Amino acid sequence: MISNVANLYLRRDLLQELVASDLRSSASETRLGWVWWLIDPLFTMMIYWAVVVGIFGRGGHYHPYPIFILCALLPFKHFGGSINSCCKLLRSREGLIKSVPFPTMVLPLSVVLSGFGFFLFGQATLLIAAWIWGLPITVALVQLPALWVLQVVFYIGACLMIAAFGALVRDLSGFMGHVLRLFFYMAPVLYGADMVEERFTKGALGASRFADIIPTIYMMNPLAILFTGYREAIFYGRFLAGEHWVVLTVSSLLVFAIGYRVFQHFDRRVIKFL
Amino acid sequence: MSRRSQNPEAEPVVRMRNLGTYFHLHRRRKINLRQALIQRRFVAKPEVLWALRHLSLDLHEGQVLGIVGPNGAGKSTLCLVLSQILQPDEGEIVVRGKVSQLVSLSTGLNSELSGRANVRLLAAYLGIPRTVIDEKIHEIIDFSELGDFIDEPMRHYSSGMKARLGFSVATTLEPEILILDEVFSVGDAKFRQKSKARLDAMMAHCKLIAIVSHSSEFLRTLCSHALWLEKGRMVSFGKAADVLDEYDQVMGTPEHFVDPDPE
Repeated sequence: MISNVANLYLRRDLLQELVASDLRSSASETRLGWVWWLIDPLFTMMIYWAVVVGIFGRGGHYHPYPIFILCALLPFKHFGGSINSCCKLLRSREGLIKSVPFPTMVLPLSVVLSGFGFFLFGQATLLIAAWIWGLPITVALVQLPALWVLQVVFYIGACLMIAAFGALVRDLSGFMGHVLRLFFYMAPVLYGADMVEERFTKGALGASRFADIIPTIYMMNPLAILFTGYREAIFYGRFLAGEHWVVLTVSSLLVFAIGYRVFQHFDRRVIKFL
Repeated sequence: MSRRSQNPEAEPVVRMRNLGTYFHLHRRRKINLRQALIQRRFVAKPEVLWALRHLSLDLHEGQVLGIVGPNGAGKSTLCLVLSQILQPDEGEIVVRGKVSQLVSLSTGLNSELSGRANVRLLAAYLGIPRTVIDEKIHEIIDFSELGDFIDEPMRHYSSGMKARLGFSVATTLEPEILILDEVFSVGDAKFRQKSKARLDAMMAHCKLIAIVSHSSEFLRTLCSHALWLEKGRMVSFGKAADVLDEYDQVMGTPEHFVDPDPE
């Protein structure tokens, strides 16, 4: 069955069932259930908190730092988790793909969507933590649903590409570990995007004539905008700049379109490679 | 009823014209990233093996088709094409009806969930509407003989139990075209007998059945027609008895189908 929109709509039951069973199984897997999904970003947060604030003595102007870093760690965890499981996704379902006709695109879709379920659980926890920490609840929170939608669109595009290549290239998952780590440090997770801007326009590097361009290029990264968006909405209670919304929307749709085309291109021949 | 009538003028249920499907042969089938980057191609230079080629065939309503041939003849590839999982690379295939392939369905199940939840998941993969499953879930559980085990996580199941559950779900689909690729090895002797009875009942409802087997003796008892494949090419097609006689003659002594239940 070819993965196109019509067939996906026909088999929406399957997509729903896959997402629901993913969410249910990890809830029943362990006694802690969904909390496991939160423990990982919490643990990472505590390590960086200890290193950045405790040892380097930095992060002072991002107070409270744990909330600041969690704003970006949660969507990054969703990204990394989805990409990682898509690397081997089609190969791990080989038996099923070869015996039941269904549009294989539902598999990466369900990975991103069930990950989003956990992400929302994390977001709720983060909002409660922010409130307890005394951060004000502002109208800026209305940006969250728009960020969620763009996040899902962007991640689905990326995961479709990775799932298709993962079926063809054997050792992709080892390589993706490094790419993800690069993404982690290139996106504003540990630091804020404002730090990049400050460093290149006002700091010691400001003399270079490329100085103005670097922060602009930096903010072309959809992940950088997305993480900054969460910080603006939750941490600062401000609105994300209009041009960032435009870049994020355009790049998310572009990545989605490319991912969809790539997956469709490999869809038919993937079975032969498994 | 005229369901079993074999009118050659009628529209065939399956129509294949000059069908061909190839696979790439690589010394190392999957390329790695270094090769992909250096050679700037994601598919290593292919050596092509035609798993099926120049296959033209009309299958009509009411036929029970046996597919025979040695290993690597293209039998399983034909099943993939018939069930429309694999698109042919050459020629065309028209299939009129809902196809179901019975295979071992133990992969793709979620071992953390209960059997009941997996039944729903499996049904979704097979495209059985949720309403049908809700209606039939008791029948499925009864048939699988799992009893209270159905609410236990699947990781506690034996492989036989998984196979039984998969079989029970797959056979409730009531397909119009049924494909059986060497499936008669599910569960223990008692269950095997029961599943044979169920297959007999399903065969009465199906427009077309295709059975793959190495054993011509077994096909002789079930099939009306037979297709003999070798190295992806059709050697002969016709009435089961004729084709299978010919096949046995060429292949030497007929293999005897060892009936798991001599009753």
